[in-house]
Amino acid sequence: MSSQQHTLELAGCMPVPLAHYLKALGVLRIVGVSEPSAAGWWKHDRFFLRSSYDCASLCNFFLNSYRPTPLVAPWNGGSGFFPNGNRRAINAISEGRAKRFQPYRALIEQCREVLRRLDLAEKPTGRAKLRLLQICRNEFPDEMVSWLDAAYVLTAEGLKYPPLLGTGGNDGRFEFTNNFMQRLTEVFDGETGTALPGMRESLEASLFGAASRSRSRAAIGQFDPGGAGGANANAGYDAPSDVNLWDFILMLEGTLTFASASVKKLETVAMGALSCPFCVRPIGVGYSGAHLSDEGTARAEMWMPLWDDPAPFSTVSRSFSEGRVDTGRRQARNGVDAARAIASIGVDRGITAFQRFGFHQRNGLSHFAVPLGRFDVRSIPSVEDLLAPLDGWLDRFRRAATSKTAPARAGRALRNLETAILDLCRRGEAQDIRTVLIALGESEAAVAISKTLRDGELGNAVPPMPLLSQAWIARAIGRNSSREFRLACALASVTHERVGPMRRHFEPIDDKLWTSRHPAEPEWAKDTGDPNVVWSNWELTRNLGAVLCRRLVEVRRSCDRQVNAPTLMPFRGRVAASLGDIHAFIEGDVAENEIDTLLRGLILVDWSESDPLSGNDEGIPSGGIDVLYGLLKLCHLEEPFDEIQVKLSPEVTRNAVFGRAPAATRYAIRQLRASGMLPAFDAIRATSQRTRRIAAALTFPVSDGSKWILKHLVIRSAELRS
Amino acid sequence: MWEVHPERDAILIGTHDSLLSRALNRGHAISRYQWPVYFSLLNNDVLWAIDDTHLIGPGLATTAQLAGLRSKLGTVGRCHTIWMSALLDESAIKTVDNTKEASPTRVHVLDAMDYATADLQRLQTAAKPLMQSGLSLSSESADTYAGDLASQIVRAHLPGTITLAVVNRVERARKLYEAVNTEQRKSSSEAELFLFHSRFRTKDRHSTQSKAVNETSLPPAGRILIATQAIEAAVDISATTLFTELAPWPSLVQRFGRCNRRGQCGQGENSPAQIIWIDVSTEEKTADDVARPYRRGPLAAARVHLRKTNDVGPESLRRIDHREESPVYPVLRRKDLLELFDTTADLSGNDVDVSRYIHEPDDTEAYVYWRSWDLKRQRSAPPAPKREDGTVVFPSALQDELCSVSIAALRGENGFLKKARDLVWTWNPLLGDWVNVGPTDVRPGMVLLAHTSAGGYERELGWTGDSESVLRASEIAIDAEIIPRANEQLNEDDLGSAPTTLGQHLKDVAEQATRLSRTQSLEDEGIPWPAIIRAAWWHDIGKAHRTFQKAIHRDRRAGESLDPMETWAKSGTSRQLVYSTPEERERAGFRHELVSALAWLNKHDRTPDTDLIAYLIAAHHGKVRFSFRSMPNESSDKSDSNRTLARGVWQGDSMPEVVIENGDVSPAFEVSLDVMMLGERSGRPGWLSRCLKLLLAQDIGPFRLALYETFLRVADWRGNGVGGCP
Repeated sequence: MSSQQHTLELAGCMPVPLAHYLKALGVLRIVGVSEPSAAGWWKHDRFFLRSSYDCASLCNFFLNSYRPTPLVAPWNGGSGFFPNGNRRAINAISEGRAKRFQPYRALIEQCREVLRRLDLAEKPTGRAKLRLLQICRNEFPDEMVSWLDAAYVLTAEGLKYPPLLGTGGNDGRFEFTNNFMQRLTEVFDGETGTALPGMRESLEASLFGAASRSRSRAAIGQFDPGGAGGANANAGYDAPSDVNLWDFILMLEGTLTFASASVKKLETVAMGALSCPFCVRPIGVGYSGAHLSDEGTARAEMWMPLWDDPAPFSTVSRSFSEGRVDTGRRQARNGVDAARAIASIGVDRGITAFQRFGFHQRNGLSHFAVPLGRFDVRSIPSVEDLLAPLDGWLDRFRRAATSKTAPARAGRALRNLETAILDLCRRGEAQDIRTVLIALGESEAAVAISKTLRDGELGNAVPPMPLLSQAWIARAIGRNSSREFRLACALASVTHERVGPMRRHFEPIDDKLWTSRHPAEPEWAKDTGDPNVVWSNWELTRNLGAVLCRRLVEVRRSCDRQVNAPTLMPFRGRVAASLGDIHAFIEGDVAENEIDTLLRGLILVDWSESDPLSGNDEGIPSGGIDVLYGLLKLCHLEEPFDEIQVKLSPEVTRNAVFGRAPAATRYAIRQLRASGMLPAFDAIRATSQRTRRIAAALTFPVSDGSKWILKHLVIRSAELRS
Repeated sequence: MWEVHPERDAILIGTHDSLLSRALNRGHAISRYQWPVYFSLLNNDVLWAIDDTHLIGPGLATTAQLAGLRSKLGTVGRCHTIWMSALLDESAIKTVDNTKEASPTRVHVLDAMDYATADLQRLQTAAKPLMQSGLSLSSESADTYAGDLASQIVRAHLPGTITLAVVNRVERARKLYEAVNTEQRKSSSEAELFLFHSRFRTKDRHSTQSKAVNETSLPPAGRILIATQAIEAAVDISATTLFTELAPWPSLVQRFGRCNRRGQCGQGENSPAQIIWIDVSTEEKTADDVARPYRRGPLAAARVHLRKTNDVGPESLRRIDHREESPVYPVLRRKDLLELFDTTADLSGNDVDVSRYIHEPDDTEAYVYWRSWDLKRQRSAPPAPKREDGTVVFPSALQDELCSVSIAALRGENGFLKKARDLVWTWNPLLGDWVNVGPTDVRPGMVLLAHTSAGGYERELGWTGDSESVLRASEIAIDAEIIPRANEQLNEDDLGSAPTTLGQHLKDVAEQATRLSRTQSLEDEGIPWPAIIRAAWWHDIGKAHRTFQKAIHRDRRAGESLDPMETWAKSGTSRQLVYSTPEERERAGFRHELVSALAWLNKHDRTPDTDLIAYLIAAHHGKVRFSFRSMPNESSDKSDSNRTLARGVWQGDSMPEVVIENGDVSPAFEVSLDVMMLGERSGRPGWLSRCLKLLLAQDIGPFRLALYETFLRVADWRGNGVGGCP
């Protein structure tokens, strides 16, 4: 070994499959034991190692000097410590005299002594197993504590297994430590410890990706789905597993990096959180072929960090052992949270990307680490500001929507929502915000329609979604907004101090939300048969017409109580629609479906914060203005304007909504005259269809400038002059 | 204030809970930023004497491991441990790092000479006749139990003597106390009655419990004392009549020790001692709850002994051969200790719980104190601790108003926190705000503030958990005793008593460090004083950062401006500084010591002690230690969201030149947060790598490193005139 530093590209160590990622960490760990300053990093999907070793001396080190970490699991039936397991390898190691296996022999002996002391002749269960696990943790040599902490965690709530090592170094019928010993005895002579023929070649293949013929039919377990064999794994029907022995050895050496730090595991973690490094609960979204049903059979997800500055093993393992992903002030619970954490604070440690793996059950009982895509770390700070206030609701919704009794619609909505959040975390564009908004609206609708979800069982009720902040709008607009988005905003911003916001026509909301003096959180209305919920699956025009009629009834009823108040339209909007956009709506030049879906999300926003009637005023539109619209709008103003105060007349509204232009015109002109104004025409013809659209357009709030234009269009100029 | 004088001798007396949690760097009910100070002082140059070791469960192995690890990892000064017990099993203190070979122990027992003395003879032969009560505790008898036992107690009580009744749970003790009270009124007994358990505020315990155990002031009618196992340790009282529920054998032995303790019962005119034990059902199914907090096995084992004997005096006890399978407790390993060294707060608010190394698993505690405030405030939260002008309006908990409460009583569906929704709060130092505590949020060792209307406590009964028990206003009065430092728990920085320039302050602190280095008791211990003194010269350089200077100038009241040409270290007021940059961007949680450390690293790389000095500088408030990162309440640079930031410091911030009086110069530079990264940047190792190197270094290690850290903090306190050291 010279003091000269070499940087080696380990082309055999890539972030995918998981086995190769772990192999890289295994190499860094083993080299780091004898050379603490050795450092490793990832670049261009390869692992780089800087140490005093060059290619040849690194191989020599592994072939001649490497002392395998004595991985044992005397609590597992197949560990080799009990009669029913395969004992060939463990006996070869413990009876051999190879110097490199000396620590292994010592630990095997220590295990046997403990098993004798506890009088355990077969695999322990229950309390006896807990006792054994605790004694191992208490008495094993210091170097082995990391192995135990990677394999199991004893918490106040009981025994927990970090998913990386299955259930304590065992997955189904595959026992990791026994296989590790078997691979070791296939690589080294148990008696002398010398490497067997062909092992240099396969080591070079494992480290540097050189082609090698010496692969084995041994099993590799969950870490390399491609190499695990099975049906359709290869040409032909059923391929044997195809594994480089060194890959398996180095990979298991690498798992020790993920020892849960005692510091973290001693915490009583909040419900639903796993206390293992970079582990979160699985969610079935965000990758091709994703399905919610993956969640049921998946054990967990791991988000493996990739970093591109040289770091020594001690630092890597310390960072990993505390490596939990936090979103804001709470620990990430699932993949969506993890993505959010990365979008908000991932940049702090110079981690460039995370490789996402899911431990999914395939081929019967075994789990496979399925790569689920790469997440580049970029700071998207607004994500947290937007989503954090919704955490409580999202948790509840997720719990309810994934329960057995939940309606399928809620499950779909949840999936869309989580996919949208993942995309937002990756890109952070205005379009992504809009998609999340739509998905939120869809989710809320799924809850509102289902009594099961609203009422819940065992305290699992899902309340209405809390009001979203104005920041959602600011971020969703982006550089250019669509006509549909602008119109939907205008509609969503409609409110009235007595009749309430637009949202109440979509779902039964308790009127405390707008009548209470103090800011209140939305709650479900006690009376679920609320007649104000008029929005349904009809086309947009019909829904808007229904809203118009309903609000008319409501405002008249509330005005009955206040005798002297003039009855005006309860359509005060915080955001005005431009006449141009309204014209396009009347002409049918907008995607109504899009307005509908956007509206469902936008009604959740707290519009009271926005500037009143901001923006969207562009004067007389090039396409002109429909006179009928002008006439009817003057009869549906929400407040007196420029001395015009037209009393609300149900006949006008009803006839318009039902598409009867002549009748609507007649009544409208009568109303205007009664208010002392002379319209410039007697009758206006329009098709029934068009009249309905015009009636629907009355719901859009307009600016004072627009009202002025409408007034000039409709009222005789002589009247105006006088 | 003993911690301000590490050079002096000090004797500390504490419970195993408070001392062991401090020795593990997670001191219960103290500020997390103080943890390293106690950790260092309790693990260097220290003699631990641990009494009644058989009562501290997992704590015993922890003391042994700490002893072993201190000798393996190295300390300043020598450290020894004395374990004292009537039932010490030597093998229990032989752990993986405290082996016979590595740390040989000497065993001291009473020898023949000792036994020959008359006093000891009397104690050894003291008679303690034992009989079983007709009562027994089971799920069926639970309802009538307290009343029945109360009448037995009142009947058995002898005037002029003490009767002690020990039950296994606080709740039962409280019920029994009330039942005895009723019974006494019926039989017009005038014996004094006291309740003794651990769930009291310190000040209440001191005032009533010292009376309860004072044998010199015994009234003619005598005294009845209802207690829990809290009486088992460190209480010197001799009862004539003892009632005890069945308990594990070591506990029973302790309880028997509280009867005829001086061997004088039955001598002369004294009434003879009597011990009555009450069986506790250990049958299957329902018995788990009755047996709590103990397990059924040890209770059954103890019952076998009790049934075989009719006396439990010391001589009789010696004949009883007690063996039981000792429980396997978690043992603190080297890896755990090294991980506990870092005290960086967890963002999700999960504080680390070391109680598994201190307590039995279901015996964990949090601390509650009660105050009153206006609930009409926003969110009904307690007031902010300080007014704008810096006066303290709502001091943090005073140690003597804390009441320890078991976590089990707080959590869960029927727990206190569920009932007292929105009325229980905790201070989050990272956010600088009160945070509401719900049933799932509570963690062992947490300090909780409850509104008095939440109830849960009565002065006479202690913790009840009952919303009907409400403290009166006079019982929670917080008055003139409040000093500005009462808010230290809330983790604010000391801004000095008078305006001080940076140059002057650095000089003051360096001088204090130098003075400390010359103390006789600290000489010749291999302490790297030059490094500590150098760190003192540099420790507050970061205050030259314009964010800090801006804040300190803004802090002055109108008409009292500081000279703008000077660089200031202390404003002399006690207001909280508000940090923002000249562009008025908020820099929440700005930490000047981080900038100081970065300034040091900017000038020095690869020189000897570079990393040690950098670490000491950063850690001098206990807030920036092993890792630092951006906080959730920090706002980022809007124009460049990928600009790294941490603790109010931004990549590329410019720092002015600072000339230090010792001849060092910190040149003007642009702050680089590259050290925060996992890997090295431009060939310079990351912060964590540097810290780990110190932690793992043979000649430093965790104990010494923490002590060096404390020395600098002490010098800083003294430089500020804290603790009577001008």
